[in-house]
Amino acid sequence: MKKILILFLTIVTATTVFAADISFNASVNNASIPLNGSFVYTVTINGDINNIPDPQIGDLSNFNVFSRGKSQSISVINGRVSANVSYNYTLGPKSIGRWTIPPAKIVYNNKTYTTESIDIEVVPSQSVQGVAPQQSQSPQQNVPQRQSQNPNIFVRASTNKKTVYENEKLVYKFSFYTNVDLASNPEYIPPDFGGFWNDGSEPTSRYENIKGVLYLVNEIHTTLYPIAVGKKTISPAQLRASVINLSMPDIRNINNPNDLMQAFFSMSGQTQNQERILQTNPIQIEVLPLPQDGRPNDFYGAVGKFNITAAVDKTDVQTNEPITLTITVSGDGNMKSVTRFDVPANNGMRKYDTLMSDAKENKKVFTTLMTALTPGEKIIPPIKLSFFNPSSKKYETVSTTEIHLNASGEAAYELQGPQSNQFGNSQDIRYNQPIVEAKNWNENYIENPYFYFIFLPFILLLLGGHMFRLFKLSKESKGSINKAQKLIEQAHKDFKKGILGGLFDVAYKALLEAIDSKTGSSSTSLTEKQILENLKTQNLPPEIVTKLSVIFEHINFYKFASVRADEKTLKEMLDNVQEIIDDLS
Amino acid sequence: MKKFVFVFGFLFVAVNGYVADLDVSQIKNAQAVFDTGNYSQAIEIYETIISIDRIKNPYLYYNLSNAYFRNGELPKALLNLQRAKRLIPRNKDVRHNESYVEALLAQEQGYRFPKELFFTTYFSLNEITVAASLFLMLCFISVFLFIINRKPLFKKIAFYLGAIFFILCLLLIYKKLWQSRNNAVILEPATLRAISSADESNSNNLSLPAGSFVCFVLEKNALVLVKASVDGKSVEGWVSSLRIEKI
Repeated sequence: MKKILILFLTIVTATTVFAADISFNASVNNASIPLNGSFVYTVTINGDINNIPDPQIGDLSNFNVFSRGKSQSISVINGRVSANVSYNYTLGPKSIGRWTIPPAKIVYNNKTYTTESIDIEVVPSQSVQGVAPQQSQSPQQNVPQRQSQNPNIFVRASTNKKTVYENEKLVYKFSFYTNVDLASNPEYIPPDFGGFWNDGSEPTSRYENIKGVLYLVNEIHTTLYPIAVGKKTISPAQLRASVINLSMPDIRNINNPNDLMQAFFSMSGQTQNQERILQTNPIQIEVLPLPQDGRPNDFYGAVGKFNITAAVDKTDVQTNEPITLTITVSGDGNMKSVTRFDVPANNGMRKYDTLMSDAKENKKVFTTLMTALTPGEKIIPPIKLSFFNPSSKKYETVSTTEIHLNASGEAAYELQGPQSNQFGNSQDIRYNQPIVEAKNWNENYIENPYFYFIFLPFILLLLGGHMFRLFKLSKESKGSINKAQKLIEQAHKDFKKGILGGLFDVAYKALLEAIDSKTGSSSTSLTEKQILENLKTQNLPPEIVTKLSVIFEHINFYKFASVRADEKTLKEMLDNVQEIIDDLS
Repeated sequence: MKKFVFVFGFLFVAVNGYVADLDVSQIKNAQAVFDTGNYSQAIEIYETIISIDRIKNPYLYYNLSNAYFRNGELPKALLNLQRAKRLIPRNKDVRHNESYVEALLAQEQGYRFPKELFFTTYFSLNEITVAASLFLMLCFISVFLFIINRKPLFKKIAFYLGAIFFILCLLLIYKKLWQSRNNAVILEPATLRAISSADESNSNNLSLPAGSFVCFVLEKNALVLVKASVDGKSVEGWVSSLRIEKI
C-alpha cells in the first residue's frame, strides 16, 4: 500500500479520439489511490481551431472535486489557429472500491467526440494506527507508534495572514485530525468565501504528533484573493465523517489467536458507524486597499513579489518568419493578477496578440508571436512589470533586458507588379499629423435629426411664396370681376337708354375681365380657342366652358356679320354674359 | 435674469475651454510618448481621448492608427484609418497609409479588400450630404422665384437643380449602404459560424481574415452576428465579439 502511495505513477488510460482537425482525450495521473489521497483528472483538446467548445465532463459525484483549472495555448500563424486546451480536476474519492469516471464529450462541427471512461481503484487509506507515515507526505522522518489509545477526531481552520492587501494571495488551511479509521472519506463542506476570489484547493496529508498521540492530518489548502476592501469573515467550514466505532479494540496488540477471535466476535456486535459533524471557527480577515501614492502608470494590478525574464526562440531570422517571444514571470504572490504588460514593437516589427498560460508552480508564461517586416537589426526593448509588494508595502518595477535580433531577407511589404509604384520610394507609413485643436467632428449629418432644420426656412419660404401668390391672385381676381361687373352694368344701362351700338364690344370686354380673374393672367392677346383651353385647366365645370364658347360664337356672329341683332337677342346676350360673370366670380 | 444668463454662458464657455485645453495637452502628451517609442502608452492616451472624452477627430484616428501600426497591430491600424478616411477622404496621408496597411494585410493573408466607387471614396458622407442639401436649397429658391414671377426660366432652373439633387441623393444612399455593409473590421483571424448562405451544404465554419470588412448586425452573449462576403458568397453568421470592432 505504502509503495503504491510513494510511487507516483502516471497512467494514461483513455484512448485518444482523432479526427481530421481535433483530438480529444482524458487521463489521470494515478489510477490507484488511497481513500485519503487525491488524483488529477485531465481532459485535453487539441486542434486546428480557434473556438474550442467547453467539454461536458461525466458524472463526478463519486468524488470530491477539490479544484478545477484550465490551461491553454493558442498559436496563430498566417491566420491558422492551433489550440491546445487542458481542463484539470483535482479529485478525491469518497469511499473505497472501484469507481468509474464516465466519458467526457464535446460537440464540434456537428460531430460528437468522446473519451473513454477511466477506472479508479480506491484502496483503504493507510491506517494511522501502527503504520509509519510515508516520507513523501510527512515532514517527520520517524513517526512514533501510537502511544495513546484515546480515539479522537477534530478539525481546525487557519489562514497564513490576518491582514492582507486587495489582490494579495491568502491561503486558507482546513485541517482534519484523526487517529481512528474512517468508514468512508469524509465530506468537506467549505466555508463561504464571499469577498474573495477562490483559486482552487489542493489536498495534502501528513502525520503530526500532538502530546504523544499520532494523528493523520488531511489538509485542504485553498488559495484566495481578496476582491473587496474592508473587514471580511470566512464562515466556519464543516466536515461530515463516518467513523468506525471509536471503542474498537486494537487487534494488532493481540498475539493470541483465541484472543483475536474473541475480539473479532466482540467487535461484530458493535460495528455500526458513527456519524460526526465537525465545525471550525470563523476567521476574520482585514483587507487593505492598495496605496495610491507611488503607483506607476504601467501598474495593472499585480500584487506580490515577482521577477521577469524574456527570451526569443531565435535571434537570426528571416523577414516574415515568426519569432516567439517568451516572457516568464516568476515569484511569490497573486499570479492571477499578472495579466498584462506593454510589449513594444519597434519599427519594422509586427506583434501578434500575447497569450498567457495558467500559473504553475509560481510561474506564469506569456507568449507573443512577432515577425520582422524589414531586414536589419531589430531591438525588443526592455519589458517592464510593475507590481505592489505587500512585504515592502511599496510599488516596484522589474524589467527584462534588451533583446537584439538580426533580420535578413526581403522586406515583407514590398509589393509585386504594378501596385509597387503606389508608395513611391516610401517603405513606411507617413508620420503623425499635428493636432492643434481637439475639434469634434460630426460624422453623419443625415443621422442627426437637427440637421434637417436647415431646410425649414426654405420650406417656409416656399409656403410664403405660395401664400403671396394666392393673395395676389385673389386681389387681381377681385379687381377683374369688379371691372367686369361695372362693364356689364354699363351695358345694361345703355341698353335701357336705347344706346345699342357697341354693346357687343362692352359685353366681350366684360367677359374677358371675368375670365382674367379666373386664370390670373391677361387674355387679351389670346385667341378664343386658347382662352377656352386655359379655362379647361382651371377645373371649371364643362357646362360653363361650353356656355362661354356659345356666347363667343354669338358675339362674333353679330360683331362681324352684316345682320343687326334685335332687342330681344341683345337682352338675351347681356343676360347670358351676366350669368357667366356671376358663375366665374 | 440677465445676470443668470451671463453667469451660465460664462461657465459654459469656461468649462468647455478647460476640457478642450485638457484634451490638447493630452494629445501633446500622446505625441511625446509616441516619439519615445512607447506606442502602447500612446495608444492608451489616444483611446482615452476618443472613448472617454468622446472626441471624434480624423487626425486623432490617424495618429492612433500610426501608434497601432508601430505596435504591430495592423488590423486596428486599418480600423482607425477607416474612421479617419470617413471624415477626411481626400487626405493624402490617410490614403497612403490605408493602401500601405491594406497591402501588408493582403500580402500576409491573401485577402482582397473591397473597392468603393471613385466618387464615394473621394467624398465623405457629409460632403455629399451638404452638396445635396445646397442643391435642394437652390431648387427651393428657384421654385419660390417661379411662384412669385411665373417666369419659365426659374421653372427650368428648378428642374435641373432638382435633378442634380436627385442624383446626389442616389449617391448618398449608395455611400451610406456601402458604409453600413462594411461597418466593422475583423481584428484577428476569426471563424465565422455561418447560419445561412447561398450554399447551405458548406455553411458551417468559414474563415474571416484579419482586417476584412464585415457588416455588424447585432451583438448577443459575447457573439456578434455579421454579414460578410466570403469567397464571393454572401454569408451570415456569428463571430466572437473579441475579434471584431465597429468602425
